[in-house]
Amino acid sequence: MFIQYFGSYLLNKGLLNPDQLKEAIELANSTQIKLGILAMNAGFLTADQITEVQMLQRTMDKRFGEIAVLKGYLTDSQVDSLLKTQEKGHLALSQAIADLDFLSLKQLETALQGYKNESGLTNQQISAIQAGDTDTIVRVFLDFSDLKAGDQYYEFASLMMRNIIRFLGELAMIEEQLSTKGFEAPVMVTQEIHGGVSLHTALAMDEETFLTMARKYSGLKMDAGSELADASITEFLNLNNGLFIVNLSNNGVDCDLTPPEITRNCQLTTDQGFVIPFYLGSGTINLIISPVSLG
Amino acid sequence: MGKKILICDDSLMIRTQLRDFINKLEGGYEVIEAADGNAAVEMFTANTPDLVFLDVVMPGRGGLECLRLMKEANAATPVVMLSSVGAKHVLKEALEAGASDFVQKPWGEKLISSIIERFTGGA
Repeated sequence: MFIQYFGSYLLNKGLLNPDQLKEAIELANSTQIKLGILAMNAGFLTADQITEVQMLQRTMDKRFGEIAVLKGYLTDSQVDSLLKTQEKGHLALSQAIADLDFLSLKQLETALQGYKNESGLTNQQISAIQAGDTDTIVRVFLDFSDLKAGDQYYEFASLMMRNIIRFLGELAMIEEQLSTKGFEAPVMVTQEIHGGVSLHTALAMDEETFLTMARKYSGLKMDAGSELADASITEFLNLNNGLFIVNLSNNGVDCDLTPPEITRNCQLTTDQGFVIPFYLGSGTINLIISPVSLG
Repeated sequence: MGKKILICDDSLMIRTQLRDFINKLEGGYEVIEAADGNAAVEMFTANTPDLVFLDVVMPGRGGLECLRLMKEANAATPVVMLSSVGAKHVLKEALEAGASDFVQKPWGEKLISSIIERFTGGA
Protein backbone atom coordinates (compact mmCIF):
# COMPACT_ATOMS: atom_id res chain seq x y z
CA MET A 1 0.00 0.00 0.00
CA PHE A 2 2.84 2.36 0.86
CA ILE A 3 4.20 1.80 -2.64
CA GLN A 4 1.25 3.70 -4.13
CA TYR A 5 1.65 6.70 -1.85
CA PHE A 6 5.42 6.99 -2.02
CA GLY A 7 5.33 6.27 -5.77
CA SER A 8 2.85 9.07 -6.31
CA TYR A 9 5.07 11.45 -4.32
CA LEU A 10 8.12 10.55 -6.44
CA LEU A 11 6.08 11.18 -9.58
CA ASN A 12 4.70 14.52 -8.40
CA LYS A 13 8.18 15.69 -7.43
CA GLY A 14 9.52 14.78 -10.85
CA LEU A 15 12.01 12.37 -9.32
CA LEU A 16 10.67 9.56 -11.52
CA ASN A 17 8.74 9.69 -14.80
CA PRO A 18 5.55 7.60 -15.23
CA ASP A 19 7.32 4.86 -17.21
CA GLN A 20 10.05 4.54 -14.58
CA LEU A 21 7.50 4.38 -11.77
CA LYS A 22 5.47 1.74 -13.61
CA GLU A 23 8.58 -0.37 -14.20
CA ALA A 24 9.68 -0.02 -10.57
CA ILE A 25 6.22 -0.92 -9.22
CA GLU A 26 6.03 -3.97 -11.49
CA LEU A 27 9.41 -5.12 -10.25
CA ALA A 28 8.47 -4.38 -6.63
CA ASN A 29 5.10 -6.17 -6.91
CA SER A 30 6.77 -9.24 -8.36
CA THR A 31 8.73 -9.56 -5.15
CA GLN A 32 5.83 -8.91 -2.73
CA ILE A 33 4.90 -12.09 -0.94
CA LYS A 34 1.41 -12.90 0.34
CA LEU A 35 0.81 -14.01 3.92
CA GLY A 36 -0.31 -17.50 2.87
CA ILE A 37 2.91 -18.16 1.00
CA LEU A 38 4.94 -16.81 3.93
CA ALA A 39 3.00 -19.13 6.26
CA MET A 40 3.55 -22.12 4.00
CA ASN A 41 7.22 -21.30 3.73
CA ALA A 42 7.42 -21.16 7.52
CA GLY A 43 5.70 -24.57 7.75
CA PHE A 44 2.65 -23.07 9.50
CA LEU A 45 0.06 -23.87 6.81
CA THR A 46 -0.49 -26.51 4.13
CA ALA A 47 -1.55 -25.61 0.59
CA ASP A 48 -5.05 -27.01 1.28
CA GLN A 49 -5.40 -24.85 4.38
CA ILE A 50 -4.35 -21.76 2.40
CA THR A 51 -6.95 -22.52 -0.27
CA GLU A 52 -9.63 -23.03 2.39
CA VAL A 53 -8.79 -19.73 4.11
CA GLN A 54 -8.76 -17.90 0.75
CA MET A 55 -12.22 -19.30 -0.06
CA LEU A 56 -13.56 -18.23 3.33
CA GLN A 57 -11.99 -14.80 2.83
CA ARG A 58 -14.23 -14.29 -0.19
CA THR A 59 -17.36 -14.46 1.95
CA MET A 60 -16.13 -13.00 5.25
CA ASP A 61 -15.00 -9.45 5.84
CA LYS A 62 -11.89 -10.62 7.63
CA ARG A 63 -8.20 -10.69 6.83
CA PHE A 64 -6.34 -13.86 5.88
CA GLY A 65 -4.58 -14.01 9.25
CA GLU A 66 -7.79 -13.49 11.23
CA ILE A 67 -9.54 -16.37 9.47
CA ALA A 68 -6.51 -18.65 9.84
CA VAL A 69 -6.57 -17.96 13.60
CA LEU A 70 -10.36 -18.55 13.77
CA LYS A 71 -9.85 -21.92 12.05
CA GLY A 72 -7.11 -22.77 14.53
CA TYR A 73 -4.49 -23.03 11.78
CA LEU A 74 -2.34 -20.16 13.07
CA THR A 75 -1.78 -18.57 16.46
CA ASP A 76 -1.86 -14.80 17.00
CA SER A 77 1.89 -14.73 17.56
CA GLN A 78 2.51 -16.61 14.31
CA VAL A 79 0.38 -14.05 12.43
CA ASP A 80 2.28 -11.17 14.07
CA SER A 81 5.57 -12.72 13.07
CA LEU A 82 4.41 -13.25 9.46
CA LEU A 83 3.08 -9.69 9.21
CA LYS A 84 6.40 -8.30 10.34
CA THR A 85 8.10 -10.29 7.60
CA GLN A 86 5.54 -9.11 5.07
CA GLU A 87 5.88 -5.44 6.09
CA LYS A 88 9.42 -5.49 4.88
CA GLY A 89 7.90 -5.98 1.43
CA HIS A 90 7.32 -2.21 1.14
CA LEU A 91 11.04 -1.84 0.87
CA ALA A 92 10.71 -3.59 -2.47
CA LEU A 93 9.88 -0.29 -4.22
CA SER A 94 13.00 1.41 -2.92
CA GLN A 95 14.98 -1.70 -3.79
CA ALA A 96 13.52 -1.76 -7.31
CA ILE A 97 14.23 1.95 -7.87
CA ALA A 98 17.81 1.46 -6.75
CA ASP A 99 18.25 -1.75 -8.75
CA LEU A 100 16.97 -0.04 -11.88
CA ASP A 101 19.38 2.88 -11.24
CA PHE A 102 16.54 5.42 -11.37
CA LEU A 103 17.71 7.08 -8.11
CA SER A 104 20.78 6.75 -5.92
CA LEU A 105 20.40 5.55 -2.34
CA LYS A 106 21.09 9.10 -1.13
CA GLN A 107 18.36 10.50 -3.40
CA LEU A 108 15.98 7.81 -2.14
CA GLU A 109 16.72 8.61 1.47
CA THR A 110 16.09 12.32 0.87
CA ALA A 111 12.87 11.56 -1.02
CA LEU A 112 11.56 9.29 1.73
CA GLN A 113 12.29 11.91 4.37
CA GLY A 114 10.68 14.56 2.19
CA TYR A 115 7.54 12.43 1.82
CA LYS A 116 7.33 11.94 5.56
CA ASN A 117 7.74 15.67 6.23
CA GLU A 118 5.29 16.85 3.58
CA SER A 119 2.60 14.29 4.29
CA GLY A 120 2.73 15.03 7.99
CA LEU A 121 2.36 11.32 8.66
CA THR A 122 3.64 9.90 11.92
CA ASN A 123 5.86 6.82 11.90
CA GLN A 124 2.90 4.90 13.31
CA GLN A 125 0.67 6.00 10.44
CA ILE A 126 3.34 5.13 7.92
CA SER A 127 3.65 1.70 9.51
CA ALA A 128 -0.12 1.26 9.20
CA ILE A 129 0.01 2.18 5.51
CA GLN A 130 2.93 -0.16 4.99
CA ALA A 131 0.98 -2.97 6.64
CA GLY A 132 -2.08 -2.25 4.45
CA ASP A 133 -4.22 -1.47 7.50
CA THR A 134 -7.24 -0.02 5.70
CA ASP A 135 -9.02 1.05 8.91
CA THR A 136 -6.10 3.34 9.73
CA ILE A 137 -5.52 4.48 6.15
CA VAL A 138 -9.07 5.84 5.78
CA ARG A 139 -8.75 7.76 9.05
CA VAL A 140 -5.42 9.24 7.94
CA PHE A 141 -6.66 10.52 4.58
CA LEU A 142 -10.38 11.14 5.14
CA ASP A 143 -12.03 13.40 7.67
CA PHE A 144 -15.58 12.69 8.82
CA SER A 145 -14.90 13.75 12.39
CA ASP A 146 -17.65 16.40 12.30
CA LEU A 147 -20.32 13.92 11.28
CA LYS A 148 -22.53 12.03 13.70
CA ALA A 149 -22.37 9.00 11.40
CA GLY A 150 -18.65 9.53 10.74
CA ASP A 151 -17.61 6.10 12.02
CA GLN A 152 -19.92 4.42 9.52
CA TYR A 153 -18.39 6.44 6.68
CA TYR A 154 -14.88 5.37 7.71
CA GLU A 155 -15.98 1.74 7.98
CA PHE A 156 -17.69 1.89 4.61
CA ALA A 157 -14.62 3.38 2.88
CA SER A 158 -12.32 0.88 4.58
CA LEU A 159 -14.51 -2.04 3.48
CA MET A 160 -14.50 -0.78 -0.12
CA MET A 161 -10.71 -0.55 -0.04
CA ARG A 162 -10.44 -4.13 1.20
CA ASN A 163 -12.89 -5.37 -1.44
CA ILE A 164 -10.98 -3.64 -4.23
CA ILE A 165 -7.91 -5.55 -3.09
CA ARG A 166 -9.79 -8.84 -2.65
CA PHE A 167 -12.03 -8.89 -5.69
CA LEU A 168 -10.27 -6.67 -8.22
CA GLY A 169 -6.77 -7.64 -7.15
CA GLU A 170 -5.61 -4.02 -7.08
CA LEU A 171 -4.11 -1.80 -4.41
CA ALA A 172 -5.93 1.51 -4.20
CA MET A 173 -4.67 4.87 -3.05
CA ILE A 174 -7.10 7.38 -1.57
CA GLU A 175 -6.88 11.09 -0.95
CA GLU A 176 -9.03 13.59 0.90
CA GLN A 177 -12.76 13.37 0.18
CA LEU A 178 -14.53 15.91 -2.06
CA SER A 179 -18.06 17.31 -1.96
CA THR A 180 -20.69 15.72 -4.20
CA LYS A 181 -21.96 19.14 -5.29
CA GLY A 182 -21.36 19.54 -9.02
CA PHE A 183 -19.63 16.15 -9.29
CA GLU A 184 -19.99 14.69 -12.79
CA ALA A 185 -19.47 11.13 -13.96
CA PRO A 186 -19.95 9.29 -17.26
CA VAL A 187 -21.41 6.29 -15.43
CA MET A 188 -22.65 5.76 -11.88
CA VAL A 189 -24.12 2.79 -10.00
CA THR A 190 -26.24 3.64 -6.95
CA GLN A 191 -27.71 1.64 -4.10
CA GLU A 192 -29.50 2.67 -0.93
CA ILE A 193 -28.95 1.11 2.48
CA HIS A 194 -31.98 1.61 4.72
CA GLY A 195 -33.20 0.50 8.12
CA GLY A 196 -31.10 0.99 11.24
CA VAL A 197 -28.63 2.94 9.10
CA SER A 198 -29.56 5.12 6.13
CA LEU A 199 -26.89 5.63 3.48
CA HIS A 200 -27.00 6.40 -0.23
CA THR A 201 -23.99 4.80 -1.89
CA ALA A 202 -22.55 4.89 -5.39
CA LEU A 203 -19.59 4.01 -7.55
CA ALA A 204 -18.80 6.45 -10.36
CA MET A 205 -16.11 6.30 -13.03
CA ASP A 206 -15.33 6.68 -16.72
CA GLU A 207 -16.48 4.03 -19.21
CA GLU A 208 -13.00 2.59 -19.76
CA THR A 209 -12.41 2.00 -16.05
CA PHE A 210 -15.97 0.66 -15.79
CA LEU A 211 -15.29 -2.02 -18.42
CA THR A 212 -11.87 -2.95 -17.00
CA MET A 213 -13.31 -3.30 -13.53
CA ALA A 214 -16.33 -5.29 -14.78
CA ARG A 215 -14.08 -7.78 -16.57
CA LYS A 216 -11.79 -8.14 -13.56
CA TYR A 217 -14.62 -8.66 -11.09
CA SER A 218 -16.69 -11.10 -13.14
CA GLY A 219 -13.92 -12.95 -14.95
CA LEU A 220 -16.26 -12.95 -17.98
CA LYS A 221 -15.74 -11.68 -21.52
CA MET A 222 -17.88 -8.66 -22.36
CA ASP A 223 -18.12 -5.60 -24.58
CA ALA A 224 -18.17 -1.93 -23.59
CA GLY A 225 -21.68 -0.74 -22.81
CA SER A 226 -23.05 -4.28 -22.56
CA GLU A 227 -25.68 -5.37 -20.06
CA LEU A 228 -23.15 -7.81 -18.63
CA ALA A 229 -20.69 -4.98 -17.86
CA ASP A 230 -23.46 -3.02 -16.13
CA ALA A 231 -24.50 -6.13 -14.17
CA SER A 232 -20.93 -6.79 -13.03
CA ILE A 233 -20.40 -3.34 -11.50
CA THR A 234 -23.84 -3.23 -9.91
CA GLU A 235 -23.10 -6.64 -8.41
CA PHE A 236 -19.76 -5.40 -7.06
CA LEU A 237 -21.47 -2.52 -5.21
CA ASN A 238 -24.19 -4.93 -4.07
CA LEU A 239 -21.56 -7.30 -2.71
CA ASN A 240 -19.77 -4.51 -0.84
CA ASN A 241 -23.01 -3.22 0.65
CA GLY A 242 -24.11 -6.74 1.55
CA LEU A 243 -20.91 -7.25 3.54
CA PHE A 244 -21.40 -3.84 5.19
CA ILE A 245 -24.89 -4.89 6.25
CA VAL A 246 -23.60 -8.20 7.62
CA ASN A 247 -21.08 -6.27 9.74
CA LEU A 248 -23.86 -3.98 10.99
CA SER A 249 -26.07 -6.98 11.71
CA ASN A 250 -23.29 -8.54 13.78
CA ASN A 251 -23.40 -5.34 15.87
CA GLY A 252 -27.17 -5.57 16.33
CA VAL A 253 -28.18 -3.10 13.58
CA ASP A 254 -30.56 -4.49 10.93
CA CYS A 255 -30.58 -2.93 7.46
CA ASP A 256 -31.77 -3.79 3.96
CA LEU A 257 -30.74 -2.83 0.43
CA THR A 258 -32.64 -1.50 -2.55
CA PRO A 259 -31.81 -3.07 -5.93
CA PRO A 260 -28.81 -1.23 -7.45
CA GLU A 261 -29.44 1.17 -10.35
CA ILE A 262 -27.22 2.50 -13.09
CA THR A 263 -27.24 5.96 -14.66
CA ARG A 264 -25.05 7.58 -17.31
CA ASN A 265 -23.80 11.14 -17.75
CA CYS A 266 -24.90 12.22 -14.31
CA GLN A 267 -24.27 15.36 -12.32
CA LEU A 268 -24.84 15.49 -8.58
CA THR A 269 -26.43 18.51 -6.95
CA THR A 270 -26.44 17.69 -3.25
CA ASP A 271 -23.73 19.21 -1.08
CA GLN A 272 -24.35 16.75 1.75
CA GLY A 273 -22.50 13.79 0.26
CA PHE A 274 -18.84 12.91 -0.24
CA VAL A 275 -16.78 11.63 -3.14
CA ILE A 276 -13.79 9.48 -2.24
CA PRO A 277 -11.49 8.84 -5.20
CA PHE A 278 -9.76 5.44 -5.19
CA TYR A 279 -6.76 5.59 -7.52
CA LEU A 280 -6.05 2.18 -9.05
CA GLY A 281 -3.49 1.18 -11.63
CA SER A 282 -6.31 0.71 -14.12
CA GLY A 283 -8.20 3.95 -13.44
CA THR A 284 -10.06 5.92 -10.77
CA ILE A 285 -13.12 4.61 -8.98
CA ASN A 286 -15.08 7.26 -7.09
CA LEU A 287 -16.90 5.97 -4.04
CA ILE A 288 -19.83 8.20 -3.10
CA ILE A 289 -21.51 8.24 0.30
CA SER A 290 -24.41 10.50 1.14
CA PRO A 291 -27.10 10.79 3.82
CA VAL A 292 -29.53 12.02 1.15
CA SER A 293 -30.60 10.72 -2.25
CA LEU A 294 -28.16 11.14 -5.13
CA GLY A 295 -30.92 11.17 -7.74
CA MET B 1 -33.00 -34.16 -20.11
CA GLY B 2 -31.49 -33.90 -16.61
CA LYS B 3 -32.87 -32.22 -13.53
CA LYS B 4 -34.14 -28.67 -13.87
CA ILE B 5 -32.53 -25.77 -11.95
CA LEU B 6 -34.14 -22.33 -11.80
CA ILE B 7 -31.80 -19.36 -11.22
CA CYS B 8 -33.59 -16.19 -10.05
CA ASP B 9 -31.31 -13.15 -9.90
CA ASP B 10 -31.60 -9.67 -11.40
CA SER B 11 -27.84 -9.63 -12.06
CA LEU B 12 -26.94 -10.93 -15.50
CA MET B 13 -23.42 -11.46 -14.20
CA ILE B 14 -24.56 -13.84 -11.46
CA ARG B 15 -26.89 -15.70 -13.82
CA THR B 16 -24.15 -16.04 -16.43
CA GLN B 17 -21.51 -17.23 -13.95
CA LEU B 18 -23.88 -19.70 -12.31
CA ARG B 19 -25.31 -21.01 -15.59
CA ASP B 20 -21.80 -21.46 -17.07
CA PHE B 21 -20.73 -23.37 -13.97
CA ILE B 22 -23.81 -25.62 -13.83
CA ASN B 23 -23.48 -26.37 -17.55
CA LYS B 24 -19.96 -27.64 -16.88
CA LEU B 25 -21.18 -30.14 -14.28
CA GLU B 26 -21.65 -33.74 -15.31
CA GLY B 27 -25.19 -34.98 -15.87
CA GLY B 28 -26.64 -32.30 -18.11
CA TYR B 29 -28.74 -30.14 -15.84
CA GLU B 30 -31.31 -27.96 -17.53
CA VAL B 31 -30.92 -24.32 -16.43
CA ILE B 32 -33.78 -21.85 -16.64
CA GLU B 33 -33.51 -18.21 -15.55
CA ALA B 34 -35.61 -15.37 -14.19
CA ALA B 35 -34.37 -11.78 -13.97
CA ASP B 36 -36.88 -10.40 -11.46
CA GLY B 37 -39.23 -11.51 -8.72
CA ASN B 38 -42.40 -11.66 -10.83
CA ALA B 39 -40.72 -13.76 -13.51
CA ALA B 40 -39.23 -16.00 -10.81
CA VAL B 41 -42.67 -16.96 -9.43
CA GLU B 42 -44.13 -17.41 -12.92
CA MET B 43 -41.28 -19.68 -14.04
CA PHE B 44 -41.47 -21.66 -10.82
CA THR B 45 -45.15 -22.51 -11.29
CA ALA B 46 -44.84 -23.10 -15.03
CA ASN B 47 -41.71 -25.26 -15.00
CA THR B 48 -41.70 -27.25 -11.71
CA PRO B 49 -37.92 -27.07 -11.20
CA ASP B 50 -36.02 -29.59 -9.06
CA LEU B 51 -33.98 -26.85 -7.35
CA VAL B 52 -34.15 -23.05 -7.14
CA PHE B 53 -31.38 -20.53 -6.49
CA LEU B 54 -33.10 -17.33 -5.39
CA ASP B 55 -31.61 -13.86 -4.86
CA VAL B 56 -32.93 -11.77 -1.94
CA VAL B 57 -32.73 -8.21 -3.34
CA MET B 58 -34.57 -8.03 -6.68
CA PRO B 59 -36.76 -5.48 -8.43
CA GLY B 60 -40.50 -6.13 -8.26
CA ARG B 61 -41.15 -8.91 -5.79
CA GLY B 62 -38.21 -9.34 -3.40
CA GLY B 63 -36.67 -12.77 -2.89
CA LEU B 64 -38.33 -13.43 0.48
CA GLU B 65 -41.80 -12.75 -0.95
CA CYS B 66 -40.98 -15.03 -3.90
CA LEU B 67 -39.85 -17.72 -1.48
CA ARG B 68 -43.17 -17.64 0.38
CA LEU B 69 -45.15 -17.85 -2.87
CA MET B 70 -43.00 -20.71 -4.13
CA LYS B 71 -43.47 -22.60 -0.88
CA GLU B 72 -47.24 -22.09 -1.12
CA ALA B 73 -47.20 -23.46 -4.65
CA ASN B 74 -44.93 -26.42 -3.94
CA ALA B 75 -43.41 -26.79 -0.49
CA ALA B 76 -41.33 -29.80 -1.54
CA THR B 77 -39.10 -27.97 -4.03
CA PRO B 78 -35.83 -26.94 -2.36
CA VAL B 79 -35.15 -23.20 -2.60
CA VAL B 80 -31.63 -22.00 -1.80
CA MET B 81 -31.21 -18.29 -1.14
CA LEU B 82 -28.21 -16.77 -2.90
CA SER B 83 -27.47 -13.29 -1.69
CA SER B 84 -24.86 -10.73 -0.73
CA VAL B 85 -27.07 -9.85 2.26
CA GLY B 86 -26.30 -12.55 4.80
CA ALA B 87 -27.45 -10.46 7.76
CA LYS B 88 -28.96 -12.32 10.68
CA HIS B 89 -32.50 -10.97 10.27
CA VAL B 90 -32.53 -11.92 6.56
CA LEU B 91 -31.19 -15.41 7.31
CA LYS B 92 -33.79 -15.90 10.03
CA GLU B 93 -36.65 -14.72 7.84
CA ALA B 94 -35.52 -16.90 4.93
CA LEU B 95 -35.18 -20.04 7.03
CA GLU B 96 -38.54 -19.41 8.72
CA ALA B 97 -40.15 -19.05 5.30
CA GLY B 98 -38.81 -22.44 4.26
CA ALA B 99 -35.46 -21.78 2.55
CA SER B 100 -33.41 -24.96 2.34
CA ASP B 101 -30.06 -23.21 2.59
CA PHE B 102 -28.44 -19.78 2.32
CA VAL B 103 -25.36 -19.00 0.23
CA GLN B 104 -23.54 -15.71 0.74
CA LYS B 105 -22.20 -14.16 -2.48
CA PRO B 106 -19.69 -14.42 -3.98
CA TRP B 107 -20.47 -18.12 -4.22
CA GLY B 108 -17.80 -20.82 -4.39
CA GLU B 109 -17.95 -23.62 -6.97
CA LYS B 110 -17.40 -26.38 -4.41
CA LEU B 111 -20.33 -25.17 -2.31
CA ILE B 112 -22.69 -24.82 -5.28
CA SER B 113 -21.87 -28.27 -6.63
CA SER B 114 -22.38 -29.84 -3.19
CA ILE B 115 -25.77 -28.09 -2.86
CA ILE B 116 -26.86 -29.31 -6.28
CA GLU B 117 -25.75 -32.83 -5.42
CA ARG B 118 -27.47 -32.67 -2.04
CA PHE B 119 -30.83 -31.43 -3.27
CA THR B 120 -31.11 -33.12 -6.64
CA GLY B 121 -29.18 -36.28 -5.90
CA GLY B 122 -27.22 -35.65 -9.09
CA ALA B 123 -28.65 -35.25 -12.56
